[in-house]
Amino acid sequence: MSEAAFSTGKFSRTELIMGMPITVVIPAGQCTDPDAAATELFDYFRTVDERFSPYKPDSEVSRIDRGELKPDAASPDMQEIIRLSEDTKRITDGYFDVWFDGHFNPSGLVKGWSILRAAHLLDARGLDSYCVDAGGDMEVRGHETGSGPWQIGLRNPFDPNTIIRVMALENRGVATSGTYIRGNHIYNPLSGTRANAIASMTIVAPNVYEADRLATAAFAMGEGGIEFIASIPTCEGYMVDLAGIATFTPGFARYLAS
Amino acid sequence: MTRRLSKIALGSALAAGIGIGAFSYLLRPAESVTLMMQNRRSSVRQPVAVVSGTRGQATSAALAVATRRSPNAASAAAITVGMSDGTYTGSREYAYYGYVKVAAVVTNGQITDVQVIEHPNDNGTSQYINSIAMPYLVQEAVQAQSSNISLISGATLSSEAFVKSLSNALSQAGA
Repeated sequence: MSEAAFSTGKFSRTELIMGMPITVVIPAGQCTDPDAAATELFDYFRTVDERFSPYKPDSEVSRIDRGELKPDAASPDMQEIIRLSEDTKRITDGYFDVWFDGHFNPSGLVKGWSILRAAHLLDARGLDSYCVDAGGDMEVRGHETGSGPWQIGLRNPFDPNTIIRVMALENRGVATSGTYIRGNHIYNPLSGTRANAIASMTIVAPNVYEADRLATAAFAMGEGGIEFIASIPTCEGYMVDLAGIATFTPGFARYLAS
Repeated sequence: MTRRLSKIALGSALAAGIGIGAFSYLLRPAESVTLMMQNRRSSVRQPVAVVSGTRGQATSAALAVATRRSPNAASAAAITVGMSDGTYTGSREYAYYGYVKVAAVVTNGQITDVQVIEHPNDNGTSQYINSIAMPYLVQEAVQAQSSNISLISGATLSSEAFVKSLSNALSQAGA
């Protein structure tokens, strides 16, 4: 790897794709052309959006939802997502289900999966430090600057303009499921009701795919979700309940910077 | 006493005793806690027993099919079900990291003890779980703070208004 074209600070670029801001941050010295890396990454997210958007009538998700496309005849990526969905439904005892109310919507899985796939594009370019953030869920690799871990804020579920904690992360995925801004958008598939016992559930996992799917399922479980996370040795969780009390797994403490 | 998270298949044990589904319970100090049981077929949650508990928690290793009664269900009447006294051994349940099996002891119609009969301890991962991840959950009051940190994990900021506003900001920023 040659010396970076940008000598100090970090390269950062944000685009709006899949209805959310996606940001890639690359520390100085990681590659000669971070802009090209970012372009490739955003192009990838756009192809994911074309295929998996439940809002685009021609997407594979919409065609499967309408029964026009048999899952067996779908693209390899879609078949992988369906397979991962079944696995996730099993390990979460049905709390994660891409079929709800007769509709097919794998968005809860696609987000983390696509962030991880995008991160692999940066790996292939030889980068070992970067952060890919899609709507608050992110893959964090290497160091932010020098040898320091990435400093990631944990948004206050009661006031999105503030944070409640700072996490120090390296080589981890982090995802938060919550209720603010977007409203209550996670359903408990077992009861058919909106999940609302807690305000937010943040998961730190070995990668963002794991973090995202487990955050979604644990949030749907309500207060019991943190115990579910505690049962998974590689993942840690930080749950904020509606009373403003945070309950977290003991291992989460090592990620707390302030 | 601290709040210990015990990883036991309470649900399956009680399922053996009562007959339906798996569930979890969570005891808090000086609280009466309603045990919830979910009938999976009807998706209706029903309180099945009231336990005045000592401090401590237990959860179904069958991954919490039912949850604590949610705050908005607080008006639902708690029903004490007369369970027959005895010791009931639960089914062997897969719990992601291994298998668990427990027994529940019912005395005077209430659960008085839950015994772990089997839990994962036959490999390195499971031993790790047993020593590390049968944890004490930690609690703290959240405190808002401002920061200049740019990367923030939170629920997706994707309301239409937010996206419009951000689009505008980005266009001003020359994106």
